[in-house]
Amino acid sequence: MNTFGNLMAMLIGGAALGTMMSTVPDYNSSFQPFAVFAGEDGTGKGRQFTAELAGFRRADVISFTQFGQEVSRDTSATFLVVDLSITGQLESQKLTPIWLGATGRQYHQSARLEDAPRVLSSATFQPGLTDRTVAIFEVPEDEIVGGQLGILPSGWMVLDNVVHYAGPATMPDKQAILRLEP
Amino acid sequence: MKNLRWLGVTTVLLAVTLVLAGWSDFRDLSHQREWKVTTVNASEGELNGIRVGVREVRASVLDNGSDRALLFVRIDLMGSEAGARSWVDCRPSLQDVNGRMWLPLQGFMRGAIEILASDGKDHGFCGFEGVNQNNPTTYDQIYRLPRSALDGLSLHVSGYGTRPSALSFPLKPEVREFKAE
Repeated sequence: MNTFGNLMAMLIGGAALGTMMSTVPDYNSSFQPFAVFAGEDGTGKGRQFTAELAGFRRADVISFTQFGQEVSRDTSATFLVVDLSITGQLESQKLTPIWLGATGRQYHQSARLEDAPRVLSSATFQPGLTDRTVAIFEVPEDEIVGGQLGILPSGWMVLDNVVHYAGPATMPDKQAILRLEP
Repeated sequence: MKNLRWLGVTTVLLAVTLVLAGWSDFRDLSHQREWKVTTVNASEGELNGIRVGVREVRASVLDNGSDRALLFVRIDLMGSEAGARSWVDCRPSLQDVNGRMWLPLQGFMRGAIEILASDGKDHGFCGFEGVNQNNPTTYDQIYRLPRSALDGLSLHVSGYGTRPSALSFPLKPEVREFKAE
């Protein structure tokens, strides 16, 4: 009976390990980075940065100037623009924003606006300096109210934080054309 | 007694697993961190067969009381091909007494190098192309940091292959004030 018990324990342990190893995403990355939540004042602190959420805006078209040329981008959805102030802590750090929509879908920042001024994913945040920045997502309107903003370090995320911010309680005002300035 | 033996075997296997898995993680971490820093109180130091020289350190600030500064650092490298290969890459970072670390800027901000360098030229980001034993090869870096951090800074120079070893040069930048527009 004792041998049978040991054999069963070994088989159950092997099956549990096999399940964890074959899960996609693997069980380890499911728990990393660690989630922390911003306070009610809109300020959240990760290991490498402090970010203050200043507000949300919506637009049908975003325009900006690049190398002296006027650039304009439109969308069949809605541009959700999140204004932030971010301070670096210990090391120069690049950050990645994600929008966790109200329906559970996850959105990355719009790649068509990577060249816009002050875009978060193109910026590097330096220790001791606070910079204004914007995260821009293209989302369906029903993803905005009830959604969440997540900011996480780019690249290596083991033992690091993703900071979550509550989305707007009501639909932000919509501008036909939103101009982004440096 | 039999159960104790099982427990012993389990403990030994757990320890072996931890050592095997942990060793490669520890090696990866030691290639990222600078745990063995040699402070150089001169303008030149040597690490893994490469002589590193700090040639120009110049900061620019604005006269409008802005809390930001740009710091230009020119270094040169000289050494054997084998030494250059052992470094793999080059990471020149600024660090203060509180352990904060600033990395060099990339992109259009490097244009400021041409204003701050004595010869008005940007010699490129620190690397090992062209490094030889006969002549020093010059590289330029520019950093953005708080003005208050300019006192008590040191330049750390290391490579993936040298870390956890690194050289540290205490810096005393010459500060130039520019008129804000």
